[in-house]
Amino acid sequence: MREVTFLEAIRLAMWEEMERDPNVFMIGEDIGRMGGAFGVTSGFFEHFGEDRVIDAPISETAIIAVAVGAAAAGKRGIAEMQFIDFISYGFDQVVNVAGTWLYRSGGKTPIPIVVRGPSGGYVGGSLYHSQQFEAWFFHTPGVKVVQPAFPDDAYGLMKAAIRDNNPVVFYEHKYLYRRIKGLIPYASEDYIVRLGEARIRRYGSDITVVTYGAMVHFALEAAQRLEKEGISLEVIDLRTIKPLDMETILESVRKTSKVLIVYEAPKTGGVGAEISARITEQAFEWLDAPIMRVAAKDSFVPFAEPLEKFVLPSVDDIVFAARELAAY
Amino acid sequence: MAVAVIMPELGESIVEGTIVRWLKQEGDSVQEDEPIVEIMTDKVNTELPAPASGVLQQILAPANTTVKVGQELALIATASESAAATAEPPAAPVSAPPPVEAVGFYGGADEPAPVATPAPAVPTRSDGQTRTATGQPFISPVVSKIAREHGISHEELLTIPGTGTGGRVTRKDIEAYLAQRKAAPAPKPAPAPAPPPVAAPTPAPQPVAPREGEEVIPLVGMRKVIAEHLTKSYQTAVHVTTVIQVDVSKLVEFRERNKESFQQQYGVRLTYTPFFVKACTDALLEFPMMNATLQDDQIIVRHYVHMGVAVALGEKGEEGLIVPVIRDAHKKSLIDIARELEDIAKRARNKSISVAEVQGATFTLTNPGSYGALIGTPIINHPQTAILGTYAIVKQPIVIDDMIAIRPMMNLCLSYDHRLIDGMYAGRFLQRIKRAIESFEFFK
Repeated sequence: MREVTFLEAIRLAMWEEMERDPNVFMIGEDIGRMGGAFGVTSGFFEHFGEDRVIDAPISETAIIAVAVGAAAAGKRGIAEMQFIDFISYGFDQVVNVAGTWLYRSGGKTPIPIVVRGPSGGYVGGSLYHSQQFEAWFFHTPGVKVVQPAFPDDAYGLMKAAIRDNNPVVFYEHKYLYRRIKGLIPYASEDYIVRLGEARIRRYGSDITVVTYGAMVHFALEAAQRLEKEGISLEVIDLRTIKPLDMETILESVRKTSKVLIVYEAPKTGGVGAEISARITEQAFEWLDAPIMRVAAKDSFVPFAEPLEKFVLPSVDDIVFAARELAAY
Repeated sequence: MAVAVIMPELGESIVEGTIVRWLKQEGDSVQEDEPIVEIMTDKVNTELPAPASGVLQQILAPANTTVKVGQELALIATASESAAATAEPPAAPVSAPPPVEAVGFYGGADEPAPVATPAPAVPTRSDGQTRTATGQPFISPVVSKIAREHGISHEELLTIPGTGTGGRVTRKDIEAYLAQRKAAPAPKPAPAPAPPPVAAPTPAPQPVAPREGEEVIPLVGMRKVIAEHLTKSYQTAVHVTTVIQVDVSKLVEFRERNKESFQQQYGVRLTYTPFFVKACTDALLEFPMMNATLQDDQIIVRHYVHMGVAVALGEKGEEGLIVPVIRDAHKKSLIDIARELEDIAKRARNKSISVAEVQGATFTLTNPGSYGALIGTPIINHPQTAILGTYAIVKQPIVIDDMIAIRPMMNLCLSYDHRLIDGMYAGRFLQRIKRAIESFEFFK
């Protein structure tokens, strides 16, 4: 095992996959000579060369389109969005091109690409560098969506995403990049985390907290605080948002009968809404309280720190909601 | 449109009460502020006014049931909406609790500033509904499922004590109930899931069948409150009792000499109790820890005295006990105290005392001497720190200046919370009272 940061775990996963499979390549803005805006691809250009580490112009459409085209021709492309917010420029490539290609080709042509990039707030990134629009692709057929919270998952999921034959949008929360450290296996262990499997990061008995990304850490902190009050949270880290691991969620719901869903994106129409609906559909008889959500306000993420804090969910928000649920 | 009658917060520590009786029946018309139900809480009976005018549509909590603060007790059907729509502007929504401040439940201006008031026991969802439109308690899907699987009828379900919002039965409540039921199986287990009992639901959890010569009385109302209160006190405070003997010659003499003139002049019977209240109050100002309360690792010391005075109810004391409070006793003269005591004790016996008048005492005085008790160990009136018992005045031979004299003597028994009070402090406090009574320094 090696102790690495969240960022380093992602870097190592891509490095090892590129070593393992010569078909894997990457494309993005400033990822080559500069090593990436956050340094996730630092050293790749020197090691793998300019054919496999391609500096692209500022065009997310082109970056994703190149990855998609190359994938159709047998390569495995990793397309970096300098900030995942700008995936909107490549939206059509993901939704209408990559997502549909396997179906359109009668199952003949898979599009194994990973569109990855830093997401999320809490770093003063303002409007265009703080967003969490995973719900867009959660809503899109033919696309998988991943967002890890810990280095080992980031490492194992990135490897699985690169090897997966479907387009995967991979959210890397920038707040976690250098804040979170953890142990990951050595390359020789060929460790992967299969897509579509949630992980219970903390076992508890009173309330099931379903969450992902940076919110996993918030939920764990809330759980620690609430433990002193005798409220026991079970924290489920989805890891893969789509496909959704309903089995793990439902099993926990059958144990606690109370559910709190926490996500960093605007509340309305977020991933939590779908999870809530599915629990109601599939485990209505197990509920002892309304399913509750803690999420961002339906707003932009402002630059000013107090306003950013106001808009985004906090540990306190989780604690208060959990108390309310516990008392219900 | 129906307006709910809601169990109000009747005091800082009151979380539940018992319905004594309904003054109005279903179908009766009621006027706003008209008393409609009698409720017993924390040793007092009080009448709850109707929150709106209309017809008492449904009683949700029948007599003898225990209700939690915030629980709906009844629904009042108000005048039709169309009538309201024609002329008058729409009335403000009347979902709030009845106007309790009118009867001073929260205390008046004389109430001390609240110190670290405990949070309301039952947080409520702003948008949450814990009752269905028909006023039935909300049964969550999982509770309903568990009830069905274990053959618990709807009626039985309603008897399970609920800890959720508005007294709702939670999954944990029903699971605890099942575990308890399993631990103490019924004498004759029914082979199949038992049919729902036909009898009306009673809040008693497991009815005990009385044997011959026995009778079963449900623990409700004042008795239940007293039981819970004393248990809490005994389990919380570290009780210790110290006794001191007081020579009450001067007091007895003064009373004998003045009782008739006192009655004539002030219209109040002169008893010993006002003197004890006065002596005790003065001592408390000098020994404030005796007048303190312990709250979550914080000692709240009061430099004022609200003196609780225990009053037994019923000819044989069979109707329980109530502790009316003389507020700001430290500001009152002996005559004021005597007058207030008589009034408050009389109204306590008539059960016409308000909740506010039995709340907020900082110290309690009890007088087992009134029924001849010589010595005893009173239990502290939680969350106070001490209680003083005044015992029977008995003539005894005592030694004064190496001579034997016959003097009326009395025991003062002080029970105090040893967590806050050490023996010497208690001793000095008693000495202070003794000195006041023996030297008779009341009319300085």
